[in-house]
Amino acid sequence: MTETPSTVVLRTPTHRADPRAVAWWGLQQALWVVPSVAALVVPGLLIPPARWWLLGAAALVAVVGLAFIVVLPRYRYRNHRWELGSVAVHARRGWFWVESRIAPMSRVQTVDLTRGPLEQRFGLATVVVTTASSRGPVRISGLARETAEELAATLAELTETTAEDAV
Amino acid sequence: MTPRRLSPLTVAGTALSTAAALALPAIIALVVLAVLRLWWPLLIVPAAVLLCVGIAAVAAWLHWRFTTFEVTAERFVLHTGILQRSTRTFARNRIRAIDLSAGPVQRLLGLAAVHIGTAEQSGDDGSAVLSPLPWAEALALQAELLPPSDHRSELLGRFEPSWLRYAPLSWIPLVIAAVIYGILGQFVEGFGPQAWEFTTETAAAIGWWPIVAVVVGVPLFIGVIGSILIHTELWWNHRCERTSGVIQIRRGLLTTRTVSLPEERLRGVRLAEPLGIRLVGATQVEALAIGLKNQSTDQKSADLSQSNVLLPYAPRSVAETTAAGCSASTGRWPAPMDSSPIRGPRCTVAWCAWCGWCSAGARSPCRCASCGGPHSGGPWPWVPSCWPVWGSCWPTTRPVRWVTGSRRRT
Repeated sequence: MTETPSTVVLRTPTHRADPRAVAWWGLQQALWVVPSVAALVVPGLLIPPARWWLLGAAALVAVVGLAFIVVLPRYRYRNHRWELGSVAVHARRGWFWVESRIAPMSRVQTVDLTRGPLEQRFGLATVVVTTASSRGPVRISGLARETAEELAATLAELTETTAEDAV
Repeated sequence: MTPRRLSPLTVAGTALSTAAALALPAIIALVVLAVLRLWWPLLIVPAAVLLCVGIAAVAAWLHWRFTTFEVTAERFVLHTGILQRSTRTFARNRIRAIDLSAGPVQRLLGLAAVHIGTAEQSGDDGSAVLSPLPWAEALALQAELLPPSDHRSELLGRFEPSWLRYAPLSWIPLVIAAVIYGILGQFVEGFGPQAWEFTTETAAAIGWWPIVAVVVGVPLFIGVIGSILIHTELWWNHRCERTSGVIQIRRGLLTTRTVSLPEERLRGVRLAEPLGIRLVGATQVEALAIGLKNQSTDQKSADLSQSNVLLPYAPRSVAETTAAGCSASTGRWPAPMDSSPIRGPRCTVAWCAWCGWCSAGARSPCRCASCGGPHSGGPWPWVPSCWPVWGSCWPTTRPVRWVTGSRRRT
């Protein structure tokens, strides 16, 4: 009997972000788009000689910005996945560069649950898993607050019960 | 478990240290204003100081108000953040090292900052700072999170004041001198022609040699004094002890610092000997362990906290005793110790280029420690054959290290 070599396939993580994350990401983009447009529109209205090219630039920024506000968060939502297994946590994120990070439970050092002011508005939270890796932590953002709390608690429990092997 | 808080004295402490930091600039400003007879702006100075102290105190109060922590049987949980709320959970079996430190103001108030470290790699990710706790509570927390099973402690090494003589031989005097030259350079740029005129006139009067001596000597002298002061501040009252499997280092003159390192985390020790230190037969003993800052062998990028140092520059025989004592439980200490336990790469390029040790045929065949290239002496015995990479081969730390075992926590 011949043994077939086992092939390991990087499975797409199962869980998505909370749908409210789309609005949160959109608002984050809006926070730089709106001031940039305003910074062009206001002088455009106040300085008649430069009005047209300033307003033109504002329109350009507004169009690009609108794409960032409307399209980008939805695209990000499609890529944004996470999954907690019994031996590892896997997170995929990004829009232009898509990055998958897998942290084995035995390397987890701390589990952080953070909620910024905007996230609190949307009832969202971010789970940050620090590992003994020099590439930095695994971040899972855009989770509903209850999901995040549950995830953090489960991760903490799994970390306690998993023997550590990081040196 | 009820959440615990930091010491409320942090508000007073922060106010005091802010006031202390602003005192000197404020006095200078007052004197300058008084000399200039600007009486009205005199009032602004104390007002500004008060405002700064007030802001610092409010910030400290907010930090105190929004920081709580809990210790349970399995976890250490830290809640922080005013707008950005954050909850950091540590599994207790992941905690690697606990450092206590206290600056002058904190000592005055009987407080200490506790730094809880894991095997984190990137900056402060994966660590926690509780600043400040009452000193007794900080010690209790340290004992609680890294529990000692019996309390007999064994002295592994103790700083002797006479070791301050090694401080000027490190790179610090040169760095201080370089800073002074930098400042002088700015000054000369501003007053270029006048400074040059003054120098030539003085030279005409007393000759060039005294001037060269002053220009070279004074910054170096200040550097030497500075390095001794820094060394005193860092290492005064230093003791390295083992208490039931935890190696503990206490030290510091103004800022006291305590580093706890579970012995099972210690993977080995390193004897570091920068060039000047090596020439007088002194050695620094460093811990090889994950979770300690300052693991870099590049001395210049190393920060001053030096929490991986078990024993500062000391005579080699003393350092070897401490090194052997610290790594006793990890086993496999090469004994009796030779000045170089590693036979092969004994000869570094520094030796070749500087003392011609290899070309004298003392320990051949020699190999460059970094590039591994053979050094046969060649037609010109004083030129190492790995000359083109001489710069990259330059060792700041002699590659003498023992990595003992690879014990894993089970």
